[in-house]
Amino acid sequence: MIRDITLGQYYKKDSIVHSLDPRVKLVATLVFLVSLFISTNIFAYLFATIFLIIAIYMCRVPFKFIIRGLKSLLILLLISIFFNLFLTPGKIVLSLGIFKITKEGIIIAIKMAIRLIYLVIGSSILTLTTTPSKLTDGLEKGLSFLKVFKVPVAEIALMMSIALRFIPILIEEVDKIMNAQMSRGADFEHGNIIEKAKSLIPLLIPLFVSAFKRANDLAYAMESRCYSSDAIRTKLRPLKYKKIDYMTYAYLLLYIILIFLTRYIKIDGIIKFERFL
Amino acid sequence: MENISIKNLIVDFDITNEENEIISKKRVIDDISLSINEGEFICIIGKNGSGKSTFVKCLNALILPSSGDVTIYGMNTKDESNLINIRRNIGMAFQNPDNQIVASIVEEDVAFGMENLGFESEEMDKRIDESLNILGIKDSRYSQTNKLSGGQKQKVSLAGILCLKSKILVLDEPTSMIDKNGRIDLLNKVYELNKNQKITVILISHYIEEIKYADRVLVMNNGKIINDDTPKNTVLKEEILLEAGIELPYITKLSKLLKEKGKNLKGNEFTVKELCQFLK
Ligand SMILES: Nc1ncnc2c1ncn2[C@@H]1O[C@H](COP(=O)(O)OP(=O)(O)O)[C@@H](O)[C@H]1O
Ligand SMILES: [Mg+2]
Repeated sequence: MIRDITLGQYYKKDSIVHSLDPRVKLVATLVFLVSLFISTNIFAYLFATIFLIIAIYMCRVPFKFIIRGLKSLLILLLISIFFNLFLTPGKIVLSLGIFKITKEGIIIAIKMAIRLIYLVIGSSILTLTTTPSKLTDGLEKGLSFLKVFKVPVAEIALMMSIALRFIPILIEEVDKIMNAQMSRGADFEHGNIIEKAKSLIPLLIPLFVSAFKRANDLAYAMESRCYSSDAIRTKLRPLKYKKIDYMTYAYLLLYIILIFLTRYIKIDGIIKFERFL
Repeated sequence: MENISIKNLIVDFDITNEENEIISKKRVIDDISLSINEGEFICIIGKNGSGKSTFVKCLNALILPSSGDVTIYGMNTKDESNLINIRRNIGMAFQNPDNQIVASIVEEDVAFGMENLGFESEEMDKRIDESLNILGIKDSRYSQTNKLSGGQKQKVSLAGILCLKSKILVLDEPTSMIDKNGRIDLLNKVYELNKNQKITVILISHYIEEIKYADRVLVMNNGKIINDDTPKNTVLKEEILLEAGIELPYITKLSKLLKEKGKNLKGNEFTVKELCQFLK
């Protein structure tokens, strides 16, 4: 049952987005998220939408995979829309008994909804087109400047990738222990929260014991294979920027400039977002 | 040529109480002296807790001697400056393949040792190719490690060691987590490496049948080596095997029974082939 959880949702495909350097994709996602939060008018949202459509089109991942992440966000989305819609004070547009919808409420609710949806889609594209190990590589290389401040970036990245590798193994282990304990009469499904938490103890203790044993074994295996934290390690596939990566950085720069420029668009005759509503 | 030399090796583990104070010492390796020559195939057998794993961990300085010396190609394990060179020369694979694979993709895991030693990408690529080829798992190069079978996982860890071109291969019960076919397959590959490339192999096994690959069989009991002989002679020493708590191979038992019944057998056969030859 637990084994069905899939971690990392990489979708294999040959596309330009897949082949981009993970650092570029990380920066692009960051830039996109920032752009969403500095967007104030309809033009900024328009550019963000175009940006997103281009990314969706270029990554060649089926649309239904991209929006799958939205499902888990649905409740959060509805709650945020509900609160913004009904609880923002301002000019009343519609009133349904005690609930009053205001003009400001509608605007904020729409903005929030767009931001949340775009945010999830944007980060989904990142994780769908980049393997977890590429992501860690990207983070390691991208954050390597932190070494100056004595942050052990390489070690942290190695820890992350080892953690990723052991997650499926530990999940399987949880499954095994659960079955073993259930066959001895343990009950993980019934009872109140406190009882449920208590019933986890016979699950967690064997899990910790085995995780420590695994860690110990792994440490021996790594040392046998000449691992030492002071040595300078090389990479089998070192990250290297290609032409397309530099071009993408240029487009990103252009995009963020456009987003900033939208703040100064105030031409009469063009209906402003607010007035439109 | 001698490549491993062990003199009066003793390993004591500290037994501590809850406050981390040493309350006593437990002798796990008890005065072992031994030398192993290049190209030999050594098999170590003995019951659980007899000190086999501790012994091999002394070879590549994962555990340092409490007293005595372990010397690999003239390098003493006690000397910290020898550490990397010793470990380069001794490849070590352990029992549970899941606990020794570091990366999620096969080629990345195979490369781990070379990355630690600062190899160039092209060289790594070449060696990954070679070692996967030797073990016959070239097709799995880009597979996810946790989707492989036990035997394949163990081969991946072996490939990670082979690509360092170690001259000594130490395998600590490498086949105990994999099925029979995987076991035979893996050991045949190791045997070929030993014969073709003169790699010294030290195999710890708890399947007595596996001693058939060896030139020398070491039997361990309570931290001591109580037998150092050929497989043929070893299976004849019933008292020693009894003392070490090891059962005879099934075929040997059969051949002994047949011998008692007056058949013309030696009582030390342990492969089906040998037995058949005599029965013809
Ligand atoms: N880190 C340790 N601390 C204390 N005792 C240990 C440690 N590791 C192993 N032992 C003990 O040393 C003995 C030999 O263990 P080991 O070398 O693993 O035997 P084998 O591999 O033959 O089963 C066992 O009795 C074990 O309990
Ligand atoms: Mg052992």
